Amino acid sequence: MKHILKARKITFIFTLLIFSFSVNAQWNIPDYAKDTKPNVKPTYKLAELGKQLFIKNCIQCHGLPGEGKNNKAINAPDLGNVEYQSKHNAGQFYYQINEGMGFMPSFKDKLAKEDKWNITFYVKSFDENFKITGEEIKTKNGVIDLKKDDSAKTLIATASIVDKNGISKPSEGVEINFFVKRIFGNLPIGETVITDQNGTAVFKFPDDIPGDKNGKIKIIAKFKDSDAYGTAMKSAELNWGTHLHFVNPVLERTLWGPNNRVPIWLLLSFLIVTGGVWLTILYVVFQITQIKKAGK
Amino acid sequence: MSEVKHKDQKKSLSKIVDDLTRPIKRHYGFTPWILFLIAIMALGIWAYIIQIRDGLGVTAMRDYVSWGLYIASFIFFIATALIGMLISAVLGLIGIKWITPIARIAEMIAIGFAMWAGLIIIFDMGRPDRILNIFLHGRLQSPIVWDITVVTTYVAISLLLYLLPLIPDIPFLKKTMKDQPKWKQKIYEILSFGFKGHTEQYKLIKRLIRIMAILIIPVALAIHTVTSWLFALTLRVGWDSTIFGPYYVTGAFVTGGAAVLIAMFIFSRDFRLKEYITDFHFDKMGKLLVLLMLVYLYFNINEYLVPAYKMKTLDEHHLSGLFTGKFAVMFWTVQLGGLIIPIILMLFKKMRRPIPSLIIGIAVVIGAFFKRYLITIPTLLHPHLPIQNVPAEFSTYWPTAFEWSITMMAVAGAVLIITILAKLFPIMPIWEIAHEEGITNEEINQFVEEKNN
Repeated sequence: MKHILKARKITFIFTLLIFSFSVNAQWNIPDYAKDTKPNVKPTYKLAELGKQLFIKNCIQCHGLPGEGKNNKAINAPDLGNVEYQSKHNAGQFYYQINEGMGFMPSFKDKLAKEDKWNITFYVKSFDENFKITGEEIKTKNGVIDLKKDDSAKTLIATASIVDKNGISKPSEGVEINFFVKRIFGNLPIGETVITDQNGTAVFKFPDDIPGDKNGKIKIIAKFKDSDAYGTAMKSAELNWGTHLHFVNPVLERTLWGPNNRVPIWLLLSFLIVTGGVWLTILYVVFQITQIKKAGK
Repeated sequence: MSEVKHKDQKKSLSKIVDDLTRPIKRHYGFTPWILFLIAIMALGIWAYIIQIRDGLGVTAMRDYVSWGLYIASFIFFIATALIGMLISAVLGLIGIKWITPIARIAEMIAIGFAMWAGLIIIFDMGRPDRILNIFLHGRLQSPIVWDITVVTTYVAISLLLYLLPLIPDIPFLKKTMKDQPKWKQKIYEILSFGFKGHTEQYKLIKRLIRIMAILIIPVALAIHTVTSWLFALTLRVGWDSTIFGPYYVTGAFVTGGAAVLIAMFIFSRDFRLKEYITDFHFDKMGKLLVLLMLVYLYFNINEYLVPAYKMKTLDEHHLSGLFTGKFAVMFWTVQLGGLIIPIILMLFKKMRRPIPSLIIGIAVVIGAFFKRYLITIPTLLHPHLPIQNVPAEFSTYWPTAFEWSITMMAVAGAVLIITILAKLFPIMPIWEIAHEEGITNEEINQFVEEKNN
């Protein structure tokens, strides 16, 4: 939790800093940009490829189009916004990706021409007036179910497809991947498993995955082909991980620890040296008082 | 030649006592000089009050340069204080005779500058009222705590090394200062510790001086090594150096040696003690300073040329700033005017005479001061994360009038301590000079008794 807060704080400060010098900048799109055309006709398939690229490169600031999760502090628009769409045609949008402005980086040399057009198709697919051809990609409504077998440390995943009427049917030949949940992102583990005719697949859990101090671990099962089966996932808590023996380094005697945990060697060196010197000083001071005696 | 002359002129005990106690009795320049020092200090106190009231914002220190003129002065003060150890301990223990009239002057410089070094640290604190927290919550792992320990210890040992050789001088003072104010006589009475000139007492005091002289050597090395560790134990460019300890220590001897030359000139002229601090002493001290400067030059070559040969990216930023960049004028002025030219000049006998010595000494001390500035500030202007999106003033540093005033107060304060000590006690050990002139303890005792009657 602390990490997340810190990360948020840093993002916030960083955003503010960038904001402070980019706030006055304005897009200056030349007229010719409007007439720039791609070499291929926009299709849903290309737009789908563009979506993957959008998620990689654009989502941090703009959010998914139409969801309103754009970063307002740096004036990054929600690209699904009707007003935005009406003011920018595909050519103008392509120009913006290419050139960049202020906080918006230029993708001129970072992405291939086709990729940039695919992103354009994806974004423009939110514009009602934009003509996009081909078959719209429909994902099936897949569902995963997980059962665990503690004795054998195996997971049994069941994949089923829910049809229009809400009836679910087990599905054969579906690939499922397993992940361990980390603080940031998911760690893929093991091999991809494929469901049999009953829609089930058996996953043998590896022995060497570190859990928390009780061996607890959170596992996630997902369809490998999310385009075909959807993004459904199923998570489960297991205590099959290895037990983590976390030793807080601050609790040991270290150079970076607090004063009451100073390393012994340092403490002894300090005491012996300082003590030795001050005992000598005190001895001499005492001897000064003996001067009178020595004169008798 | 001059050595022979020096030894040929036998001085009588009464002349020695007269010469060395005269400045304590009457000295016409004393009051205006004290007033001058107090005026400088008053300005500094006023500046400090404003700094306390308005905070460290009145200084030029900002987020990046958080150690400015104060810490540079702190190193300079510690450096100057170190000379006490070299002259009275190292040279004294190996039996070098010509230091007798200079040793106490060196010790006075050590006391004055070491005491104010501690105070400068407090000037650098935004909340000096929290100083007790260093002792309550200070971490033993931190070089700051070691530094405070060792500065305190050095001041204590320096005081003892000043006091011990003074005790046999007190009978002379008690006898000759009858016409002086009561409080002064009271101080002499206390500091005599019942010393009556018995052989046993001389023996005891000489033994104690010996113990302290041996003890001060490691402590003095420690004080400046720890000061260098405040810098060298970090990963900062320009500070992250394994030779910083000896580099600081040798630099300190240069500073202190030059300061002693200046003090020798002032005392020999103003106190009319040319017969005691002769051209011979200036010549010897000049030779010593050349040696110290050569060693320091050697460390400078290592400190700058070794990283400059490799030019790691970060080092390059730092070094090009010093060699050809923003700090180039100061850097080359300091290195040439404060080190290389003085070395060349002082190789010639004529340049080791009193007046050239004084001028070279002043150049070396000023150079040494700005050398500390060059060690502290440029590194802070090269942080690991680049400076960006901050007010323009954060990326430069030049001390404000407040910082200069407070630093000048510290300099005046150190000189004031030296002045007061010189006004209360003889600046040379009368008894040791008498012994060197072949005057025995019996003669001294007889002399003291005579005066008494």
